Amino acid sequence: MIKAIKQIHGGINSTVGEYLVNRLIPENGIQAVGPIVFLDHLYPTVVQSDAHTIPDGSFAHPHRGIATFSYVFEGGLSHYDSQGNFNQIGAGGIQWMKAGRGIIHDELPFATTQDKKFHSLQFWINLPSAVKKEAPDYMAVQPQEVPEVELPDNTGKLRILLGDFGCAVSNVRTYTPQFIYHLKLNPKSAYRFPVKAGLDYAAFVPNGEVLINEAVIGKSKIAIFEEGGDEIEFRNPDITAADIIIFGGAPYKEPIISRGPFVMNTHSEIALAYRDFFDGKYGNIIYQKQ
Amino acid sequence: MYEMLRNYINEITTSEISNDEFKLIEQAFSLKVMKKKQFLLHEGTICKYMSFILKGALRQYRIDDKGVEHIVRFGIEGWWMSDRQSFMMLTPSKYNIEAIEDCELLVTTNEQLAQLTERSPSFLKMAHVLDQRNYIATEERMQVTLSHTAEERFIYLLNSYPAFLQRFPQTMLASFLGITPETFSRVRKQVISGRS
Repeated sequence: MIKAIKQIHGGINSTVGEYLVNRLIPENGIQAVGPIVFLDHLYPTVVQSDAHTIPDGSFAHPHRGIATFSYVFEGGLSHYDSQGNFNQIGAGGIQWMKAGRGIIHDELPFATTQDKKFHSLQFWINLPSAVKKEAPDYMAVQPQEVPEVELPDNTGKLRILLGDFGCAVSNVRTYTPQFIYHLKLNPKSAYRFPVKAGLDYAAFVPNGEVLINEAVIGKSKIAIFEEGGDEIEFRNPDITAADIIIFGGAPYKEPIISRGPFVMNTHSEIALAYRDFFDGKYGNIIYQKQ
Repeated sequence: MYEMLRNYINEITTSEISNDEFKLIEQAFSLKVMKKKQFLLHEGTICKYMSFILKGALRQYRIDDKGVEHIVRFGIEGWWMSDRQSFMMLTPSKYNIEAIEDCELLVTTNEQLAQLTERSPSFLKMAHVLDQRNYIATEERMQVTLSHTAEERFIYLLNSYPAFLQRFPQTMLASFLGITPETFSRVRKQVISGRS
């Protein structure tokens, strides 16, 4: 049985640093999909930085209570944080950072091609209350390290960015059932994606247009699914490959209280997160040529 | 001194806040006195305070690569002043906030506001209304600076913020509208003589 679409929405424009983004979660009454409490789509844009550019610190900011998960479609992304971590990824790679009890990070998009294009997504994955108290952690996943599953009948492939699919498992750490997949659907192809009971599901289409259960969705729109059903049909009517991001997981059962860059379980914990920041407890980023 | 904030909350929420609830709000704010030309925020630092202006006026501005000042916002009695992006997200501010008259402010922090949000429904309601108003005002201001002629910008100032004309020097008003002081002076004469 087809898993029905509950809602389709187009997000709302917002700015992050100097970049224009489409904020898809939280928006339109959707507070979370599984443990995912935030999704920004940074529209394709031209950037002047290259892989050697060191950030000036103007975008550095703290997080607490979540893991940030950045996925790059085009260009590259540098990561710096106050635990001394640094790494860079190219298109198809992932920057994952568990903020735990608090960290400051900075991410700098850079150009890797002549057209200087950069295009990415950022998710915030809510952490269980016990994990919010843990020390921060970080990992970069290079494009070639992302597991890929070939789909039947030459319809395309599924990249396992987070979680597992069949025998393929992402290296990125998870604390609850959760997944982010990048479905690359070949031209004039359709794929029936199997879903599991008890998990929340959403699908995001960054560009172009595809049919999801016969509904046309594209150009930075998101579909949120109802409970029930056992598969979702994705169809690419175009003559070029289509990109679809499928994500979700087990519903987050604890209270979700978010303010600014923090997602906690109580207002007192949010207050403490701000106090700890001004008390300097998250440390500082030391920018240097790595 | 807290009466002004109390009246403001009652007006925005169209209800009467109780003494017990207002006591919580009083505890979350403290008085800050500033002399003219003192700074509430410097570019590159984090905006720690959200301020309610009891007396005086401030300006929020950025300095571009050529050293030119651009005023993005004024604040006068009964208005709020902060760099919202820096205040919420804790990113270094691109702005300076300077007192352009001697000021008295009631200031609070996000730490205090997080607690208040849970305990004071009136404050929460006020914050929602202010968010909506801020969104509308920002949209309008963006339209003005993107597509309006100098004359249309002056009319926007005249209609939306008439008190500014009596209170702030022309150079600051020109910067606020994104036009040169000379152009400001010219359109001011044109518009005012056209109306008389």
